[in-house]
Amino acid sequence: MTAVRGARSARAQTSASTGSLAGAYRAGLGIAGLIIFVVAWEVIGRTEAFGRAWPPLTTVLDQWSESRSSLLSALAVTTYEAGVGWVVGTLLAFLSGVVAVFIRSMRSGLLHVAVVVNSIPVIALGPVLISIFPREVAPMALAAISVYFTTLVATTTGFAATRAVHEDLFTVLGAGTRERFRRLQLPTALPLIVDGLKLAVPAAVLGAILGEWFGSPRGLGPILVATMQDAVYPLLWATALTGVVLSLLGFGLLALLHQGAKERYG
Amino acid sequence: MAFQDHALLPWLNAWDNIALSFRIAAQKVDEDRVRSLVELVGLEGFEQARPKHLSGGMKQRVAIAKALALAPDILLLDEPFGSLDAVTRRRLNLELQAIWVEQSVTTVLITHSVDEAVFMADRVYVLSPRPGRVSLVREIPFPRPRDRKLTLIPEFHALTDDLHVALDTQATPPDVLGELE
Repeated sequence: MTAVRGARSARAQTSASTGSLAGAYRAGLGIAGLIIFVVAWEVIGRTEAFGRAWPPLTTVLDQWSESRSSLLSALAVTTYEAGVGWVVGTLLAFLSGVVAVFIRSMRSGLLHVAVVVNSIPVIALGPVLISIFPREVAPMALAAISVYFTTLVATTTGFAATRAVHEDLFTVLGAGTRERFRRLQLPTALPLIVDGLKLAVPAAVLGAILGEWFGSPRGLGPILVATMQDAVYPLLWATALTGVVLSLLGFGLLALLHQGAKERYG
Repeated sequence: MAFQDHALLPWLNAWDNIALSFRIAAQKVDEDRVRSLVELVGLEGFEQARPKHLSGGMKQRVAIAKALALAPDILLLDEPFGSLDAVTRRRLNLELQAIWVEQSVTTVLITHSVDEAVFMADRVYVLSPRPGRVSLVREIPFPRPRDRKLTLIPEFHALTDDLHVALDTQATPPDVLGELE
């Protein structure tokens, strides 16, 4: 899945670099899309087309600057939880991927287990995690679990993405599993893994917020729960927007890193 | 061994691609050897360039240098110039001869170009399709070093014509035609 995405975006990249005009066109389309989105939000909110639960964007932004200090401190907590979960999930997934390279028999079994874990609804995992970990740790654990699957898929796909002709070369040169891994599979996989890490950022943020949902005292999650129950819609949306911005920032940062990795190892 | 597709690692520069053979063989990289190979294939100044910044011919030269790195007894070249344009291909034919002068190594070159085969080889083996067997062996008597003028003389053409006929008659053997009908 990630491999296909990578190939597709690589092709898009080449076509964009053929002319700055095409790039400007694409950027223009993006900006136009954003404007349409913002205007539609505002209009729907003002006219209450979907009821009071959908406030106009300006109201949400007003609310945001009013509650800035509490939202920012909640954001800091969620960022920390999502960050720790992202790092732990990534490391575990990477290690699993490496183990799968060296222990052949584990290769398919590992992915099967990951798929099963990934298809358990988070709602079901939450209570289990809370009974295992303290409430403050549950968000990180849930973030880590959310990250694990995407990164594991990216890692195993990456290690298997070597070109046949390079495999032949390493066979001819008499490379062992370790040399092959270090000098061929790891460099081949790097851009794909970074691509996976990019996709894992929103998963980590979502995991952290859902983890908070199950009774964590701090972070964006509790604010979401409280505002939803009290029907304080502007603050609910302001909080949601904060979470989205966090996701997008992390995603953008890793998109840059991915670009660099593709440039260096592609 | 050099492949049809150059098989260079895109994240390594020319120098490191050549040195890769030493590293995988767990030997110390022989810097002098790598340097002399770079000179041999005429890539001085491009040691730090990565494959995507090299032309097709240059990539193939790096691939040949890499194949020569560990001083093999036999050099296997699987259609090394197949993906190059005709002009570059002819130039590299000549360059490969120059390389043989300095590093005389027995070379097995697989090619679809009869001209290339006659121009390069001491002995040409024609392989038959299905089953792949040697159907014809021809000694090529021309002295070395050979230059481009060789391709103009009648003897050269007589030989290539012979080999073309040998290839053409087996290209569509009667039994294959029978299978198709």
